[in-house]
Amino acid sequence: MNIERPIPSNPERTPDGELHEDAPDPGEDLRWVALAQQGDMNAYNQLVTRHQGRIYAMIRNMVKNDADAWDLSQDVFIKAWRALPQFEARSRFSTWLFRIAHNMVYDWARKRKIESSGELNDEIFDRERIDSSARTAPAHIESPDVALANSELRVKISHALDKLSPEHREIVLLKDVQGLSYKEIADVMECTLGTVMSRLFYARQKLQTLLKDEYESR
Amino acid sequence: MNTNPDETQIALWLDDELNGAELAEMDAWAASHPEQLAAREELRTFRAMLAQNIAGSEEPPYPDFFLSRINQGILDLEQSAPAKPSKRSFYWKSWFMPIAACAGMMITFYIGQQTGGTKPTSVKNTAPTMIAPIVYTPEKGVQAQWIPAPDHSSSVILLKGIAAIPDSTDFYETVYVPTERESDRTAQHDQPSSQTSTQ
Repeated sequence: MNIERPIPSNPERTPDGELHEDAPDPGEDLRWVALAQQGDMNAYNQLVTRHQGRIYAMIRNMVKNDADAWDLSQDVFIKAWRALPQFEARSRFSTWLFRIAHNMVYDWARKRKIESSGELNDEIFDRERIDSSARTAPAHIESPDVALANSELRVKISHALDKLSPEHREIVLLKDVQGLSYKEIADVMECTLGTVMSRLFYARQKLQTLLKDEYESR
Repeated sequence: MNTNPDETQIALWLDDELNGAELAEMDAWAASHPEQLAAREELRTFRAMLAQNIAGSEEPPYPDFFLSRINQGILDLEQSAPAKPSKRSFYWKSWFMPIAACAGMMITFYIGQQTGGTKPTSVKNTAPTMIAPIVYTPEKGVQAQWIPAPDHSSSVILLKGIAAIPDSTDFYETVYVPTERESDRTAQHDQPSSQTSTQ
């Protein structure tokens, strides 16, 4: 698989709910998974390449730190390899990865809380500066995609998302950005369907209010 | 549709998660509820705005290095962790392990019976044997003979050629023999000193 191939911004579903034509095919994922479960490292590398973009983007949107997102994304795939024998294909491979990523991000936040001896709050997820003690600190390269990302509306949406609680932010990202279904989100966040619906309702409501305020202040 | 759908159905319909017969039923219901149709359009616009402005997929920096670090992490993990038991080996162990354990116990019991039931044919003398010492005699012409007791509990050294010990020899000058009073010193120490108390 050509890793240089441009990856669509929302590969799972279009906003109309249709599966995107470039979305990773779940059936093909399962074929790679079957090979990887037999110890085929090349097959697992294919899976990593197919899903690394979504996992990295999801984690980066949660932790707001390139270096930590880079490290955590790798840890997700390492942990997924270790847990691969237990994957029984009851859910899509991508959903399973999102669940591991969810646990990794919250474990990371808990460790941050212990290290700082403070409360677990939104500030842990809102750090924008790169931690100098991070294992890796990739250089920031300005690319056309990044330049586009810095558009005014995007910045406003990003700031509005930052003001949501981690749970609300995650649920908006999973639903409206990653295109997961209610059921899949319930699997990822390990909660009931009703909780997903409730959280999503309030998260969207707050986000719409925040964005409305942004527009009115212009 | 005769009855109103529940909130779950409406939420799924608003988020375009229904299809087939369920979608047809909800569309029929929504035809008479223009506010729901408007809400669905508003939600679609909102989702489209988010999807267009927030990257759902983003290539991690240095993708080759990213992948190689994952491979190295997996390699380190497998080298440090014990070998993962496969499902097949687990199945094999699930029935073999109890049988092997029972067989091992039976063999151990049998060996114990064989070795524990036999009686010793002879009892060896475990008393310590005495090694003949080298007796040093400073005077020439004196011979020393070391004679151990039959049971090795004691021994006698017989000296030949040595002059007779005169009767005038005072053994108290050469050998310390505690007097009767000295041998009972402890009792005297325990007695309170009358001199100390009177001073």
